[in-house]
Amino acid sequence: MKKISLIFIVFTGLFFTVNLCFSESDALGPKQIFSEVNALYGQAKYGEAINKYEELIVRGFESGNLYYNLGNCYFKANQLGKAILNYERARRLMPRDSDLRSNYEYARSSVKRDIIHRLPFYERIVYNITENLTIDGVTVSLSVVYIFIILTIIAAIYLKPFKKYANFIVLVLIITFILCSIAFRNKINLLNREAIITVENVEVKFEPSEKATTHFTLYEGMKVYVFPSNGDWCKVERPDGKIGWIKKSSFDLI
Amino acid sequence: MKKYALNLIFVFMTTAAILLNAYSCFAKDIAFQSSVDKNRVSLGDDIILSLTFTGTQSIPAPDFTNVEGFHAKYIGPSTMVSIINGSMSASITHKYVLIPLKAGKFQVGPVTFKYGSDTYASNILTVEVVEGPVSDNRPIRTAGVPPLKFEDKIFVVMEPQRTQAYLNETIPLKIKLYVNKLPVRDIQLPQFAHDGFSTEALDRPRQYEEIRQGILYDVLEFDTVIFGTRPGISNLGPAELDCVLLEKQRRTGGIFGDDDPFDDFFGKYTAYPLHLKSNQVSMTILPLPEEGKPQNFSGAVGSFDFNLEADPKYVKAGDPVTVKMIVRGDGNLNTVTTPNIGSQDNFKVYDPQFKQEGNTKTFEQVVIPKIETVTEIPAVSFNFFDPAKKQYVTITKGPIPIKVEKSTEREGLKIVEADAISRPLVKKETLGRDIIYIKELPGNLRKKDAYLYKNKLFLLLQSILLLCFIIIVTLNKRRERLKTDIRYARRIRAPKEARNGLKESKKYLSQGKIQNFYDTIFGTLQKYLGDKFHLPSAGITANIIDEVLKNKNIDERVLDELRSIFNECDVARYAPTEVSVEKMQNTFLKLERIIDYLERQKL
Repeated sequence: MKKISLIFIVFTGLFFTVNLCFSESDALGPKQIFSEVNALYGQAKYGEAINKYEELIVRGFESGNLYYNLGNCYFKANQLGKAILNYERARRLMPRDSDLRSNYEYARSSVKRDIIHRLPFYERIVYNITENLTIDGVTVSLSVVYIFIILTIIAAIYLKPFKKYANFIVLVLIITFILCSIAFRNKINLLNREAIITVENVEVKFEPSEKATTHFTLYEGMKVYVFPSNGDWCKVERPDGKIGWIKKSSFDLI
Repeated sequence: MKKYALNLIFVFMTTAAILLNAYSCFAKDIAFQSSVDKNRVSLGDDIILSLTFTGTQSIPAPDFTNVEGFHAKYIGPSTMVSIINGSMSASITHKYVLIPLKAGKFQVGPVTFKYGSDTYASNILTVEVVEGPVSDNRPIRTAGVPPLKFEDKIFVVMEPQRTQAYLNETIPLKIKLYVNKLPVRDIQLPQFAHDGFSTEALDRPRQYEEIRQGILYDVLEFDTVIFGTRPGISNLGPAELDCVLLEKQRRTGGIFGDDDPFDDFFGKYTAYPLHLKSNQVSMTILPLPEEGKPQNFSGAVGSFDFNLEADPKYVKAGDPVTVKMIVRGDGNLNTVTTPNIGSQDNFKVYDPQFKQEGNTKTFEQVVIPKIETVTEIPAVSFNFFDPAKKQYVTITKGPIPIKVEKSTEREGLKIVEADAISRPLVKKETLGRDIIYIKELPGNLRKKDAYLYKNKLFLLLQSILLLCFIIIVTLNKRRERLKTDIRYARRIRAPKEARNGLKESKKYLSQGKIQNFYDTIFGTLQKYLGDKFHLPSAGITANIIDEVLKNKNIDERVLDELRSIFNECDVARYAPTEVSVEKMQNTFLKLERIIDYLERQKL
């Protein structure tokens, strides 16, 4: 019994420590800067607003609203690529925000030639479920399912009548856990792989050289998948699977 | 023997198939036809009358003996099963001999015959009886006549009823297969080139006998109807028909020798596929005259009757009335289209539905009177060209008076209509498009890339949880084992109980209670060793220990110490003498050492 109390105390302690760690980042400074920059936006000083927002990001802060506002500034400043880039970043932090969705879709509709790749049916289902969850959301889901698996097994050990249902519940929970893991892995894999073209247009070459034959052209705001590489050139893949090389300066990672 | 068995199986299966077919034929249409082998006969000669029932094989011979001008005599039945394009048909023919009694023209039939609940009537035959000899139309049966050529034994003939017709006018067409004493099977439906003609599906073939140029043939007749779709001269046919000709081969050495009774029936046949082609017929299709052509003429050709009906005749405004237009008669119903209902201003008219059955085509059109002032369904005219009269005919029927009452749902109707009228007036709203304004609050501001899955505390928490889980499961396992495994439980319990024993003995040592001290030391040692090695504790002495511990790879000095403790205990317990405190102390330490040693040792 003593042991259990001890474990409980350790857990509670850890929980509060974690919470403290999160609340620590709610510093007062950035909030003030944020509201100041909002005023600049109201005065249509988009260039200045962009600089201030970017400054906040350089200082190591981020939030869905920050990226959203920055996206708006870039959109108003006619920098479509950067606008979409920041909307995409905001989507990772607040995927269910309706304002963001509306602006994102509007910005996407302004892209000169947007290629939308239709996913296969089963991938679309997984995509639809996980699209509305952030990476942290999926992490929490995984953790919750994991805790439930442990609790169910412990309950089955100590509560004899519960034992007959436990197998089924654990099986369902394990399947959920596996699905969440797949979603989690997909989300993590996309980090540092998705990029937005930020220059007006760029010719994608067959080889990492200016002299190489042009395969296709990418326009500002289009999304590409980036393969890690050294040097100035980078291998990219268009959503429809076409691959080529572009200079690293022509895109920004989401 | 095997062949004989196969033959028997074949006979059985064929019989079963025929019986089954005969039974199932009851449900089908039964056709009844009569024919004679010749139409002219001289007195003293005879003719064969055949009454053929197609579609069954179970009809008995009709009583047919009383025929004017003839003496009739029943000869017997003959049955036939034919499989054409996979569908099976059966027929029975009852044959009679007619011997003419006097000269003249006689009608044979119609033969009426009642079977079950149905009455059948045959066609009428005309037979001429002459006094002199009949030279033509006589089957050649005499010897010495040269045998027929193969082309004359089986051939196909295409016979349109006439070779000249108006556009869209129906022409009955017969395609006949003539066979003279040849075994033929697998007869396929004939195909024929009909460029410039429209045709209907071929009917089920009729089967009869016919004398053609003095030779008796079995005839299979396929009937259809065609009509010209293009004026001018067009060629019809040739009709082509596929069938299989069987040629019998004599078997030798059957199980009954050459006189095998099954030989005729099961004799080996060689099948030859046969492709037959008929004659080609040149047809003249006349265009319909322009003179007298009604304005709304839609191409109906034939001789028709037209009728108009409406139901119900008493309705409320907005309720449907079904107008039925029936076209009946001989001619091309395929080109008959819906006659137009006249003035439609006060009606809402729906698309017509039609159905065609035999020589009748019925159009059903739903009309809805919009207002209660409607008093009649307007007159409907139907035009067609009659090829026999060579002129256009117009039949007008109606108007049909109807009574329309004011609708009780008029108010509701008005609202709906008003809504429908006002709807187009609303201009389609055009919405402006721009991005939505920025957010006032920064939201959940956090350190960049501070994902939860990278948070060490979070991960630690998860690990601790896993650790707790492992501990709980392990503890539970141990508890379960202690409950069920006595050997394990005793071994686990042994050091704890030994410690208690030592504690107690130490107490006696300090009190100087020698007897109690040695009793406790002995008991503790017995209990410990018993638990440790899963032996009954009470029976443990120095000897047993020797036997058990010898095999356990235990240091000899420890065993000696163990033995000495047992000895000291025995001496102190059974021969009480003064024992020094040092000795007791020594014994106590020895026991402590032994327990400590055994606990560290993996036994």
